[in-house]
Amino acid sequence: MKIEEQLAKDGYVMMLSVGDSMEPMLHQRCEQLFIGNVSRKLKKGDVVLYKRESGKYVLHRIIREKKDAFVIRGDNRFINEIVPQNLIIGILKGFYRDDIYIDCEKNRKYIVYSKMLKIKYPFKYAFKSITTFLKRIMSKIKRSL
Amino acid sequence: MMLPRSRHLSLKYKFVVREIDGTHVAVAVGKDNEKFNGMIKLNSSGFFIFNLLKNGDVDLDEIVSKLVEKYDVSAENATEVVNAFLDPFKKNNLLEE
Repeated sequence: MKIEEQLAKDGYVMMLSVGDSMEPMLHQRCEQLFIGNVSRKLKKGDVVLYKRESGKYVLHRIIREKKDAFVIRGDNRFINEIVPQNLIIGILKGFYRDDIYIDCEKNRKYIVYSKMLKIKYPFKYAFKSITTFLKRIMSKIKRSL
Repeated sequence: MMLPRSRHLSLKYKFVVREIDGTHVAVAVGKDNEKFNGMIKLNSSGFFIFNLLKNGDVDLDEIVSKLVEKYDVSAENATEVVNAFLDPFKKNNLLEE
């Protein structure tokens, strides 16, 4: 059964986190994710499951709302994606890390983490830009030698 | 699909079971998730049988007798339940025999 079919049938699906785009919150095949249907208005900070045109399922965070779409980005990524509302198929309700359930609506540490991302991001972006720039300079110097 | 009673059974992959909305759900963890990335929904008898398989090597007779003891049903009834439970596991290659 496909993810959408399972969500339509029972209102939830459980799966393992895949990839590193949501680190440090989620790690490759470590956390068990509880994804539910979207039953309320989506907002900034929500982690949503959507399906790209390629057919790939992606679980990333909403960072900004637009008309009929959202600007979405992985916690460990610097590239934004504009995702129309109709491509969003589920929302992360919570996840298990080891045997502890972290409820995305109620867990205080998670809520603080989610809010801190907004503060951390410009510094993280600046650091990455500086290191990328320095790498380019070093590469040019090496080529000229 | 009927399984021979003397065969020992266990799960091929490592699973973790979580409760969601009153239902038990199992997913394969770690590298095993690459081989089986589905989700298994378990009702109460399914959860009981799944745990027997998860905890170790059991044979069909043991599973049936434990089910008879727990649910106070006939051995015939229990055997039917167990075979019906194991059938999709066998079809999806989730059992180690």
